[in-house]
Amino acid sequence: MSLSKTTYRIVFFASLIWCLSIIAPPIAVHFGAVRLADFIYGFFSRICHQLDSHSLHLFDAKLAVCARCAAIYYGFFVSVILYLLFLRKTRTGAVTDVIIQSPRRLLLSILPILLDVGLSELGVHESTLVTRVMSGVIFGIALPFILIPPAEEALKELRLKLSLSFLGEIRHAE
Amino acid sequence: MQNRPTKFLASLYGGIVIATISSVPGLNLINCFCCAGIMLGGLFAVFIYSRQLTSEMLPLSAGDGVLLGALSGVIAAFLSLLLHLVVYALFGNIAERIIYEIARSILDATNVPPEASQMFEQVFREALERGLTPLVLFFSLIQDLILYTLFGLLGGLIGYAIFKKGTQQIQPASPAP
Repeated sequence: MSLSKTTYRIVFFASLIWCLSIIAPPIAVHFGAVRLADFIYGFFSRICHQLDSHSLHLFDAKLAVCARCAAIYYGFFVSVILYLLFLRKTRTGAVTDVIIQSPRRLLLSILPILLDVGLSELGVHESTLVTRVMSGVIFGIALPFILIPPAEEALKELRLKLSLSFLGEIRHAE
Repeated sequence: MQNRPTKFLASLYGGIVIATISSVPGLNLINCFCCAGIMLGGLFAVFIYSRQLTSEMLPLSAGDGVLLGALSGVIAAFLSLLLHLVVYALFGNIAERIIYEIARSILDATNVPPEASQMFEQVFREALERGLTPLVLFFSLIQDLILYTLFGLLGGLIGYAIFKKGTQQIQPASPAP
């Protein structure tokens, strides 16, 4: 298992920008940039219910997404950092390979969320901010192990196609 | 090696799944869970495409997953706009009205100060009266294009991780003689 710097940088910076956008609205409200905050809240409203009671707050204003979604995205970001450390630690990446080769097992990481939502809807257990955050973090941490390896493969494929077409153009010019 | 089937048809199916989930009021709440509906569409497109591949064809690659997912997202953004217009023409501002009713019942059940309740009424009334304008539709399309393509792509990658057969590695091209 190898990981190119380009793939890692793309995933790292994309998730960093995403996570910063989530905490941007409360910071914007705090500094009086209400229009900017409204714009970001509006953007994220398409992917999250943004219920105040289900959200984490900063400077007395809710984040751009609910607690569960925020936990997934921040879990993902932390896991992206851990992923690199994990690869370096194992050197050969053998352990990571074992995890990656069983993506279906990793989909089990969604189970805590399903249980939290399902049992809460059935009235068996009460979903709280803590359970939402915990179940979200578990899923978020698992995601990079599913997403980064195929993203790496896709980029390799793209590079190969580009270099082949470049070589073809050179030959054509000759 | 046989020619592989076109990716457009599988992407269209994925796009239909995304647009349907995202545009039908009530069903679109699935997207409240980190765009699960959008990712499902990308994943569905990869599933359909992987079923079309035979043993005589090149196997499914990660690039296919990315392309299928992203293309599903782009198709879904335009389909979604179309569906929104149809739903709006048939039922009016139904989604906003549902949200209004839910929020109203929550406010009635709790002891909210009358000023806050009035402010809520005013904001919602304005939103309901405003309806769909070309500018709203344009920004909606731009937002959908960004979100659907991004999350469709992620769905495509997850789909590839699930539906790929065995481990495939891309071999570097051999140097020209």
